[in-house]
Amino acid sequence: MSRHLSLSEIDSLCRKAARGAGYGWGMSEEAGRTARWLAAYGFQGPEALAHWLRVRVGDTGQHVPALRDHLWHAQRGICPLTAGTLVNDRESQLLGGSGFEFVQVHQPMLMLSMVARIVENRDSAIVFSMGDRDITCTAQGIVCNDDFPWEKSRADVSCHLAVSETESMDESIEPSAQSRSVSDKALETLLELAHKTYAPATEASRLAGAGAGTNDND
Amino acid sequence: MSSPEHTENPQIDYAEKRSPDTVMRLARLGSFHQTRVSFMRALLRRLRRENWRFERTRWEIDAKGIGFAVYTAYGPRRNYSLVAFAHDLPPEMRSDRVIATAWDATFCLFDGIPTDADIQRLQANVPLQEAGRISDSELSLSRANRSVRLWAHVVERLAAGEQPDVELVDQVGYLIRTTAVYGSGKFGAADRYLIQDRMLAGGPFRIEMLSVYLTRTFSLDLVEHVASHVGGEKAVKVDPDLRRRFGVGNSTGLGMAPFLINHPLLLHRWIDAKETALQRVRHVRVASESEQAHFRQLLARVSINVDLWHSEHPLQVEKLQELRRDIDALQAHVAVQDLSAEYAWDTLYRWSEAQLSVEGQEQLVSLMLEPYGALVDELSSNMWADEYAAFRINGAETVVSLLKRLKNEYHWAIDVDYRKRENSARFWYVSEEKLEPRVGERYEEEGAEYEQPLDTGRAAAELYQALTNCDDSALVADFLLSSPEHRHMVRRVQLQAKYPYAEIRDNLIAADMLPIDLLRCKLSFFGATHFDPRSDRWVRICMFQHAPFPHEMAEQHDDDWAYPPAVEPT
Repeated sequence: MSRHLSLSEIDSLCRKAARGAGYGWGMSEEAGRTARWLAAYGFQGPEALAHWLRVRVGDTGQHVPALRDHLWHAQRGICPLTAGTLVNDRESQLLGGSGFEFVQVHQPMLMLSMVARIVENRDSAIVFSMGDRDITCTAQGIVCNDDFPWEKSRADVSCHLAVSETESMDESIEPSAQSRSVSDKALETLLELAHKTYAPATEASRLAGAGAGTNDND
Repeated sequence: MSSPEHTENPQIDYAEKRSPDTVMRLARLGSFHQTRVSFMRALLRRLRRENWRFERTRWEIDAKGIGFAVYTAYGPRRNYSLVAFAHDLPPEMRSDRVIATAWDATFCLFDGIPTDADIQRLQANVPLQEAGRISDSELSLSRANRSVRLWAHVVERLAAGEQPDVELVDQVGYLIRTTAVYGSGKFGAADRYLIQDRMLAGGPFRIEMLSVYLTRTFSLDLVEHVASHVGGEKAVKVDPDLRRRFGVGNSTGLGMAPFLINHPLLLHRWIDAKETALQRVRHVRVASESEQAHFRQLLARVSINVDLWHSEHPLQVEKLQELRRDIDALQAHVAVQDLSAEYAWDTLYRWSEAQLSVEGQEQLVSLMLEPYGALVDELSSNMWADEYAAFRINGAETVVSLLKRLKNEYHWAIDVDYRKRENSARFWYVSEEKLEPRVGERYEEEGAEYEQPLDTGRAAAELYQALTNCDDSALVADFLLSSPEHRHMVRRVQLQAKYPYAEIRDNLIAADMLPIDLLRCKLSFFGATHFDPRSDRWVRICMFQHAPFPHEMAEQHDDDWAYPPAVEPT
């Protein structure tokens, strides 16, 4: 079972859910945009986020990566949002030719939008690899083979600048702003976490908070 | 038309755009008036220029005024339809608040022309508003309540074969007021990015304004319909000149307030359009006779408008008194100031800075743009924003550079002591009850742990503190990996560096912060008039008052409706 949501509803819900799960507002915004971006490309962005937030809840620092021997590691697998923003924030390193290697990223698909957006307005292409499978990101869209392991819940990830012309691959995917279906299970998790950002009403806040209380039959 | 001439007089001190330190203060934003670049005006100019045709294609409304209607707007490339449902609402259920569950009328703007099946689907959802679902085929969802007083009066008069009382019409200004107009993907409606490339619908809030514009026509048609059933053959319709005095009301609470903070790039674009327009007019070297006459004629109409602008709220009553004094002072001043002198507009604006209240200064700004449509109207096409494109953080910036930005652009924030209660008295939150933004009292109420990130000043100060502990050579990327909690504010600071009007330069959690200032700023860009606060966080306005109706658009003067018509000499 599933329900149709507009992309802006996906963005807003996922932003709140990440906040409800304990992320700061800035990272939560990244989560919302990431889920939206993936959904626009037809991927299970909200589902992947819901999955990750379920795994992560209650656990914080152990998913933040540190660099050791040119590899990024974290004690209990890497947070995909942190890994994605890390690459985004160090794009000059990536565009300068040095890649990134991450060991065991949770829901690695969630990194993709942050990596892909680096080349949104550039001629360069970036290769995003999970295990031995690649996606090539360009300003026009993303290209990958049919058998790309989208649904992997954990994988080693590497990102590097594409050195040659994009090899011929099966599928080129472009985004669309149409509404998308989100699975009931993911929706339930996301709504539950988003709910944690709402303040329970009190009688005082009902009246004072909105500043109403006037008669509208006039 | 005049054009800016930069070369002929090298002595002149050319006006820069007003600085963000001047413009981006709550007191000034809360004194904004509609201008030529406001959305309602830009919308009607386009509808007229492109020769849009309007038709009431369905009218399935019974004698009591219950049923549905469809109004279709036919454009050169696309058609849009307002689907309106009229209900029977008991008085005890009439509430403008977002917690209401029933309304006098509910609406959606349909993308194209709805089929019977579409109408059936909408009938099952639109009257429920937030509790229903719409789809990619719908562009907005809204509802409205009657002004009970004026509605009853108009029905009674028309039914008796008489015209409504002009004074009462002017006093209220509308038959119905919308209490929410949702667009941009809300409740399943089409996402903004689905329509952003469209000529008309791509502009900010054009869809919402089109919906409200057609809602106004519906409200007049409905009142005449009901009156005709009450009065039978005796009943009359509203005279065209009086009809145009009816706008659409809008009642807005805090739901709208966080928008300006959550859309900093968009805010910059709106303010920048207005400020660029003002600068262009201040650069006009010599105003032509007709431009001067246009200004003087509109000044007289502004004066009428101030007389017609009613509010009972002490804050607005005081502002209106100031505005009355300002308009009188302005009229006296331009009676003697030579508007044909070089750079007379610039001189006039500088005079206003010393002589008028902020409310009056902003009224003058709006007024000075009026004779210069050819110079400023095109700016309204640059008031949209691709916020996704501006979202990414530049991790290669040094911590030293970011600190410098904070010192220069957030000086209003970083020296404030937020431990003092008055500087952190409020917190913004979203209520569980209706999922709407609210303002709480931090030191008196529970719930501060649910605070939304509208504490921009305090967050900037915290970021500043955190950065001063960093190594000078550190990059933003390093800082954010160890301190991800500052990511939100770093993004704002970097955005502000490129877009100077992106940040409101006031403490939004201070004890003396007035949420209505945020509401008025946004509503002025919509093109609203007659701001009438009901409290410090709730405001009623009027929209499209005096505007031509769809069938009159071709015969009326272009874009001359924002102020009431001049009184005919007797």
